[in-house]
Amino acid sequence: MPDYAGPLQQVVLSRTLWLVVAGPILAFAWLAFVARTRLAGARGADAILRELASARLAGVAGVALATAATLAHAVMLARQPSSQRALFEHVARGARIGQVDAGLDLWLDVRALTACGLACAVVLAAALFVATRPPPDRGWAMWAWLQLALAGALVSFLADGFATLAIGWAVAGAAGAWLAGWYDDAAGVVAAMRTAVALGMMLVGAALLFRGLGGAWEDNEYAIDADLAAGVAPVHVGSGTGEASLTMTSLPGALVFVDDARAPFMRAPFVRVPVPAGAHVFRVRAGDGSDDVVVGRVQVDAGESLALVPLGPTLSFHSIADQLAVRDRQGLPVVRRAVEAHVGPGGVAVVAGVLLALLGAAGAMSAWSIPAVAPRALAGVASGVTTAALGPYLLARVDFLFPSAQHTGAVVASVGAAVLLAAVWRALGQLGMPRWLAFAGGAPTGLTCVALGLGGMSSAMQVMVATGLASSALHLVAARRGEDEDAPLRRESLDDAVLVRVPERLGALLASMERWVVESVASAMAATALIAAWVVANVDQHVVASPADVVASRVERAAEAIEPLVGAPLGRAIWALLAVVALAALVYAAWPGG
Amino acid sequence: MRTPLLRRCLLVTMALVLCLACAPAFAASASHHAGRIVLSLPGGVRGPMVLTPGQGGWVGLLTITNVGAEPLIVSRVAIRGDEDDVRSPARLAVRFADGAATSATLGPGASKDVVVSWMPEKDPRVRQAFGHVVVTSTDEDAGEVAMGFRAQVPTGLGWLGTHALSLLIGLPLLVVLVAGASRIAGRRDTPAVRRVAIGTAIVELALALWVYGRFVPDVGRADGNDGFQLVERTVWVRSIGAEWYLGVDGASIALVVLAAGLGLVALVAVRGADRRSDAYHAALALLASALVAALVALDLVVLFAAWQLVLVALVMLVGGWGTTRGSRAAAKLATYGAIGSAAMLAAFVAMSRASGRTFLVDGATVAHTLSIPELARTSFAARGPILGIPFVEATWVLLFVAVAVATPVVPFHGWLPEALEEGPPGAGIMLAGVAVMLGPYVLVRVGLGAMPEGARWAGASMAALGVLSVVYAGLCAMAQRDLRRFVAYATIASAGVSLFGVGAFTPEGIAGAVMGLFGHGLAAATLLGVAAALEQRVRTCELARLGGLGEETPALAGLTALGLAMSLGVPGLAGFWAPLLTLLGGFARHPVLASLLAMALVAAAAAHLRVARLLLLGRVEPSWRSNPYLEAYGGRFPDAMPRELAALVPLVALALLLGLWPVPVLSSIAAGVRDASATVDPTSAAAP
Repeated sequence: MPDYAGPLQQVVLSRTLWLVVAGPILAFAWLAFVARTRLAGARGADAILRELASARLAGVAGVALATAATLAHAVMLARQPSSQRALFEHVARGARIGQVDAGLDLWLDVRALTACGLACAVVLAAALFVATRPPPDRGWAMWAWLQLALAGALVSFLADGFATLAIGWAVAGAAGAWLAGWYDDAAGVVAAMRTAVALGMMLVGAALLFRGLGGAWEDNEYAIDADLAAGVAPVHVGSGTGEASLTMTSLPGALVFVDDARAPFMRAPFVRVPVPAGAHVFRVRAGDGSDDVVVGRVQVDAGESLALVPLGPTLSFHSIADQLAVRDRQGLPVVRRAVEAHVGPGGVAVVAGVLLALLGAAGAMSAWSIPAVAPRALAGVASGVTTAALGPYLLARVDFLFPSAQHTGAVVASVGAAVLLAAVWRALGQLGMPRWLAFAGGAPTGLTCVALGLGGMSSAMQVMVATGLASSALHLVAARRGEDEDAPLRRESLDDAVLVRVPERLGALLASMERWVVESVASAMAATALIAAWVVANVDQHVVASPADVVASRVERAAEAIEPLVGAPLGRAIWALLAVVALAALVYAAWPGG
Repeated sequence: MRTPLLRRCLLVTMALVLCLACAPAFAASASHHAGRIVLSLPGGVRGPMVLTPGQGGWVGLLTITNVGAEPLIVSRVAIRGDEDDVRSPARLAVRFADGAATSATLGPGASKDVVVSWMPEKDPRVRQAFGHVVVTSTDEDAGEVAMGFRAQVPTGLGWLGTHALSLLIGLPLLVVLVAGASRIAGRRDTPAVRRVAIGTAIVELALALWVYGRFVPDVGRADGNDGFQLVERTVWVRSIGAEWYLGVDGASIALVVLAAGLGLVALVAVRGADRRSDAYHAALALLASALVAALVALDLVVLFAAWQLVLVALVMLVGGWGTTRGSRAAAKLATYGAIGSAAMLAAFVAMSRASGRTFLVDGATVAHTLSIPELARTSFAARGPILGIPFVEATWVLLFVAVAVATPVVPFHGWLPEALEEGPPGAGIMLAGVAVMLGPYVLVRVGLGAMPEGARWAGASMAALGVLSVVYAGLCAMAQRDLRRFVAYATIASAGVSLFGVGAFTPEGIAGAVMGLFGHGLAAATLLGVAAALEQRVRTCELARLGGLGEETPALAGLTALGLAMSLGVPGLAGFWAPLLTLLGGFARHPVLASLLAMALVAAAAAHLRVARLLLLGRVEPSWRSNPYLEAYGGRFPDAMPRELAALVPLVALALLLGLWPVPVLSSIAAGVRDASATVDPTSAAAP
């Protein structure tokens, strides 16, 4: 077994990461099932005010709990050595069938912490804003929406894998649809449809990536050395003083045996567990009934840290990143090369396809989901985090794929620029404050993608925080001033012609063009789908089902016609015959010897 | 039923099927040649030999006797099977009682005892041992002879535990007996029958959960007993080689629990029948019994008989307790069913006739087998063509037609929308929740398990037909005006996803298919439960007239929303794992079809959202306020009743639990789907 090394992300196991998302989920459940019922049953102004106050308390508490948990984990993260600033928690074992290992895992590193911090800050600001407003008629709904939106965002940001991410996106998408349908049911349905499209594209991207990483490859296609094809690579991740140690963070639940021991050494995930220095054979039992994978013999020196990295298809982000980082003695990234060199659809093409699918998913999820008509405080949350940031964050999360596809940065930046231009386009079609709000709806996504494509991850995170906070603040300011719809900007005399009238005219023109183009395309698609549905349903009813209808009618008519000729005697005879036959069969079956 | 004659025709069909199945039983036994080697058990009892607990394991004694006039040389005594063809669990041994080697010479009239022993581990994963001791001798007329044996580690429930699957089949029939007895006693339509039916369904569910609890995940074919657990096997109809052969594996265990659970839901969620309620409950019980029998059957005769009973029970229910158009829907169902049954019968006969000589459980030799695990060892590729069509292809097509009708797959789906719309709601829950899963299940059990050559030949076509079903049914669902018809098309789409997963042959794809059947069973039962509630209140499920439920009936609306989300496969609910796994498993084999499937799922999403908008959003139609159906409720739609909540909330809770933690289902099916995948596609099993 050759030696491998690699800049793997060293992690610290956590048992408390779930607390970050627990607060909003519990608060949502309470608001939706308890507060709502109580409010509906409250009689008299005092009772209603009391219930509204308790709903407000629950709403603020949910957000505060999430914020406190995020801060606490930030402190925990900061106290770790700089090389180990990532918390990992395996929450539940999802699907482990064949080559699929899709667990529900949470991951908090600096990038996730930044996004979670942004989400908590924005939602906290919105919560404080809502808390100070006069009680609306459906007081529980605003609070419940905030919890749902925050929960969706936090799950999405903390997700370590496509399965968890899909759940986060589904929750965030439900929040987006609810917000869009706040005053207009049809808009809510459209928003839900957009989430379905986004999830579909994400799943296609995940499936492509799964294929690209070796999913169901024939043995001879996996063009790396035979030792790696065994499934688990021993990776030397660092050396120092003290005892030798072993780490395995993938395949949660898998048992690891050392040498000939019959009792398991540890159950994954585990990190830096001391092992005696020397040469060892490790046996990994994944727990899905497949054969044990034997790794070794591997020399582990005193002070050295060894990680067992499963290779092959997976849906876990950190597992994919780890295996793509594995390097051989010559320093070559063997797995990445194997993926890129894969024949058939082609590794690079596959990776590019994955990125395009995910880019599409990100676009469908985020760019245009801020409803024009909705409570501004809530729209601010949507604009800042719950939908606008999810797409770019997904791209940032899979940045380990970027090196395998040429010009990825340029593509991502170009898409971001296009989104930005589109936001400007939409903004120009508005007047007054709505112009800025329309701009704020698309700008965070576009700017973050531009920053990601050009400046890398840290730039993207900075831009995401800045634009998220700014756009949310803008919505809150608008809500405070009550300028939701039509408050015009104050016109300066000198700039009047240049800065206001021309853009207004241009904006009006662009807006009408956009309406014409977008609505026409959308209407055409919807009409096509409906016509297709109508045609297929009619074909189904009148053509496909027709022969069976004819036969069924004849059978029915024949039965009705013959009915008077026979009658009860026949029925009784049949029942008697059946009874005799059944009895005979039972007696025969029960007879000794069969 | 509107046309009693139709019912009688069905009864005649059923009687003929039973007669045909049993007639050979009364035929003269096959001629028994005067062999010189005879295997016998102590006390002269017939096989199979029952190993009893002894020192350090389970032990049984077998006697080899030479009844001829010449010496008999016994050259080999062994447990049937080897490393490449694992039949029995490990740690089985056979030896002569006197300690001699496994060969001996017996003089005329002499006999020799053979000891068979099984020494399972302290806490064995495999709790049963089934197999044969085979003896080879110089008796050329007899050839290789065998004696079956079985051993059973105590289950904790005694006789009940060792016959759990038979009990699962038999328990619902108690309702039939009670209904018949009450009729004979002149007490028609007594409520006692319904109480007995619910009580029996509760016991059935408890027993199914016990079976699930005893089921050991990760036991596969390599562990012996062909990977099946809780096996019951005895000779049923010796003359045709049929056995009462039952067992569960990963592909069936979850579905058995679902069938038992939905049997209870169908009784509790729906108020029952207004007329002939005893017969209605008897028919429903017959359906529940036949469904379980089909899911646990490991013999083609048992499977076919169960399949026929499912069809007969469904036709009786739809025709007898449906709407005014119920008889027409029943006639359609019977027509499709007859086509499927004929195709299935032909396929089964062809497969059985193509199989070679083997042994029944008691060691008797038969020329052809009807046992599905035995058929899996048969190579059909070398068989001669049928009407000029290669054997494998012809047989596979016949089998697939039966599956396609039952699943149903486009274009064999015409019976389902009418059956759901016109049939009684309780039967609809059983039909859309459980009965339609029989098609894909039989495809996995027989198509992949016993005829992998055919599956390989038809894999891409199967996957394509699955995608076509999703596209077609998704579009049709978009245009439906009735909630039950919508559920029918959602069911067809879901079956299409499962078919695509099976056609991928990967463990992920097959697991996704099974998970899809389970998840859609929950979703369909929830939605049809809601439809039954609406039907009971206002006698209609017309979507356009039932808007605004979200405002007026929050509990029903919540159940509807969750049912739609489950059916759609929203992440976080049980339905999510099916599209995820089938896409992951299918993308590797059929990337273009998988991409089309993803797009088709988006179309299905549009259909689901349309129903959600029509039912849940908007305002209640003002005309309902003065509608006589709602007079009793003050002109308002009453929300879900406790009975309805008791039936449907557990389904939703289970869907939510399995959405976040699917291990209870997925871990139990892992070994089964891995074996199924390995049978049809050995390369997938070799992958790390």
